[in-house]
Amino acid sequence: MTYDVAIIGAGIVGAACADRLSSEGLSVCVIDGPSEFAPATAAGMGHIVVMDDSDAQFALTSYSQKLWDEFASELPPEAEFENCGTLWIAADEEEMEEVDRKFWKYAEIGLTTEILDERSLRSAEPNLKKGLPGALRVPGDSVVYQPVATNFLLARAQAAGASISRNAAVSLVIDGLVETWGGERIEAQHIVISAGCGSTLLPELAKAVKPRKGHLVITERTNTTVNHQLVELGYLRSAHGTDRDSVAFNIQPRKTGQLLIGSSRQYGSDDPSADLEIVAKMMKRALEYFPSAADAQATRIWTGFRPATPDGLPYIGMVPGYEKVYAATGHEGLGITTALGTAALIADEILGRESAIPREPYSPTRIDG
Amino acid sequence: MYDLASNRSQTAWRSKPVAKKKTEILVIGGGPAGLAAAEAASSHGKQVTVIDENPAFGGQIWRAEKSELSEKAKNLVEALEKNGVEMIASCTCVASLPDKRILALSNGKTFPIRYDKVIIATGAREQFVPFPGWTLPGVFGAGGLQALVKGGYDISGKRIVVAGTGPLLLAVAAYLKKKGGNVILIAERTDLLSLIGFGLSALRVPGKWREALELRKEIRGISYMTSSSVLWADGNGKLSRVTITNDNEESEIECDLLAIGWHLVPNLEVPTLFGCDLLACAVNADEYMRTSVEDVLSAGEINFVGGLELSLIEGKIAGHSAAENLEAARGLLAKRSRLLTFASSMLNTFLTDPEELRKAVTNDTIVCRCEDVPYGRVKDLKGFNEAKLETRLGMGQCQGRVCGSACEVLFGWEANSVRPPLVPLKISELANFETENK
Amino acid sequence: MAEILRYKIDGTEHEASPGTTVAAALLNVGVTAFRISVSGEPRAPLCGMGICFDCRVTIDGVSNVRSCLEPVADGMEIETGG
Repeated sequence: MTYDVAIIGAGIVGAACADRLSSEGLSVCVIDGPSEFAPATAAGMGHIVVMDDSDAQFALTSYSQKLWDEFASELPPEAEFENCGTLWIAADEEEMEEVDRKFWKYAEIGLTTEILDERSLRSAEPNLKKGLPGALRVPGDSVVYQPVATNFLLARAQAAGASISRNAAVSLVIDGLVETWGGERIEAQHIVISAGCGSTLLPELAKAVKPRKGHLVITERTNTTVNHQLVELGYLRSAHGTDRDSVAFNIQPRKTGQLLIGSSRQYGSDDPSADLEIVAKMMKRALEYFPSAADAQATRIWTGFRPATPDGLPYIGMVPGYEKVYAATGHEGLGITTALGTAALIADEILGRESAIPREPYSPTRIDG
Repeated sequence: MYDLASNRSQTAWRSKPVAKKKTEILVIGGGPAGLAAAEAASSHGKQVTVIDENPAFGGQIWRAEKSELSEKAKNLVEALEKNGVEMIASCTCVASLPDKRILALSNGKTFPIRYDKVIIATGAREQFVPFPGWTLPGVFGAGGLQALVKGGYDISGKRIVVAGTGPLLLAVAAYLKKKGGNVILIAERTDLLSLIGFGLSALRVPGKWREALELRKEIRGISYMTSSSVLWADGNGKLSRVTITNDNEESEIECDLLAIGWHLVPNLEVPTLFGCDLLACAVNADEYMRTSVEDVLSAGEINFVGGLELSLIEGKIAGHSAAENLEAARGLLAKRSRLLTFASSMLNTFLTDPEELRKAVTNDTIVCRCEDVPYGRVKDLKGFNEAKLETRLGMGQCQGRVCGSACEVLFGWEANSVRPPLVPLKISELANFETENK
Repeated sequence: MAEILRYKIDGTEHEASPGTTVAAALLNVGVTAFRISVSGEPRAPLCGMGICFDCRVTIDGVSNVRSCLEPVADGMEIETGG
């Protein structure tokens, strides 16, 4: 048979696309590789966060966040969706100016945020280091346990008729046809490539999507209170430089009482083993902001590879030079946040509709540009 | 110099780590294989360091009785000290580092140890198979209860059921009886015919039959059932009775302790961290004990669970081989090969049908004891990785050391997804990770 | 080696002979809840050899110590039920 859509990759982006497209009545086949669970999705942090380092990123993240809020009530409790909000923490007075700027920027699109001064920050997060000048609270941000959310999306797509072909590494994509190394041939009108760092099976994407290594540390269950996802404002500076290794303070409270501590960004490493020197830098940074974590015990350290693009924006839409082959990849650290928005844009493009936000900034046409 | 007595009585708890930061040959694991390896390597004049997670050397089989090491282990340890081997007890390998280093943990502090060659001899642990009630206090692994008694647990007068399969059950029952335990039953899952077959093959190995006869004498008076196993354990906050089946007849037995023993499975966490190739749930080493990773060797039960003699000979081979004296190693290869053949034949007698083992499990039976994940939540998932991500099974403190091999038995899943640190480490300790010694 | 070690379990003083592991000492005193599991069940040692982490307790303020690997020391303070 010929499917309406073949989706390559069953991470959260592929799962969201499968769910969206099958709910629109299209026949969908999801093709996933040999790993039991999509590696970038599995390794991620599950922070649903509005980010504003470009207008296009701002539009996609805020649109996606709204979609997550609508979706939240349908998620099973094991998905641990929690609308805990984000605190963007300023380290000094200079960064408080950035808090101000961010406040007005969010207000422009009608997102309510709150500026916390030293005292209100202290009462919001009593375990942060004393004397921090303040923070921006983004109450609409959430956290989710993304592996469960991903499987839920896939299961719902299957219930709506989608088929899932596992353990099928794709060897070739041409117009209307996907071929696997096992010799399976899947014909489809439309082909969506949402395979994270594995999206490089198109030479065009291979040129542009590069793995960016990250580390995360999770602790045992603790009694240390963390009420929000805590992120240093300096994250904006450290996370978006494109060529040097960087670490930034980032703590996520899990419903279990565990603390998930990040983050690091490294280019040019394809070694999946944990680099304890980078981890040490991460932990030092975390303790500068959050000294109460010092005695918490780390039970696991892991790494993952984010699919990063040169301009920090994902590729969503038809790939130039192909007929109805679409990219839905290159989300770097925002794949969980923007999965639902990405799926909506892909569905709109396939079905020839207008989208809620302009699609053009994410188009892969900019790869050659 | 390492002082066995003071290390045990004062405890290593508050003392400072004593490790040199650099050694020629590092041996991880101070059981028979590790000690034999250290002896062989040091006999060629190599500088050797042995670390062991336990407070005393000797591994499980030579485990110290309170402060007294068994004679054999004591002699070996003394010989090693004479050879100038550095012995560090209560020291765990928590991570493998680049540039031929490990990160060691001792007394809550981490430090790197640099090596030219490393011999991994981390031995084996007990296989656990979940059944209803196995999380109750009072339910132990058979070797586990023995280890606790050696550590000073007084079991006099306790009513004990020993169950599971394999020759270990008899040895454990005899030991517990000798220590004053009231062993009321040994329930062996294997049927009598297979046991007789095993007995006959064991007769081919000199010494084995005498050992068996001795054991029979020691366990005289304890009832022994074949084709018998524990269905479930009950109790209010601790074990008070077990229900066993014997040739399809169920009966209840009041008891204080249950010692349940299946097979042993290799401790693969350390070799996995080093990136060694595994084959059939063991390290894939060549006959000179070299793994797939350069300068990383492995010896003893992580290569094949084959008992003391095999571990000793593998340790010696690994020691000679790490000291780059293949000539000395070569003389031992034939003996190793004979021991390996016997050990393989023994394994087949006690292989248990997974279908049988699953029978006792119910949807509520906890599979992962760290995260309390029941069988019903994972039985339909695709594999260990997915189960980890979906349910947090295997993501607790033990990092799947118990539920990993349980899932291998229950579901046929491959479960070797080890992450550093191998034991929990304080965030402040991770932050202090030293880059010196580079 | 004939000395007697004095240590505390949850504030109560006990004695043990040298070489006794913390796990054995707790069992001898009749402790069943070494720790409380995620779903609220009492847990005690299973493996006796550092594998299962079910025997973990707090020793001298350090949490999650595997009591089967730790010999009792004079003056040690052990907290259970964590």
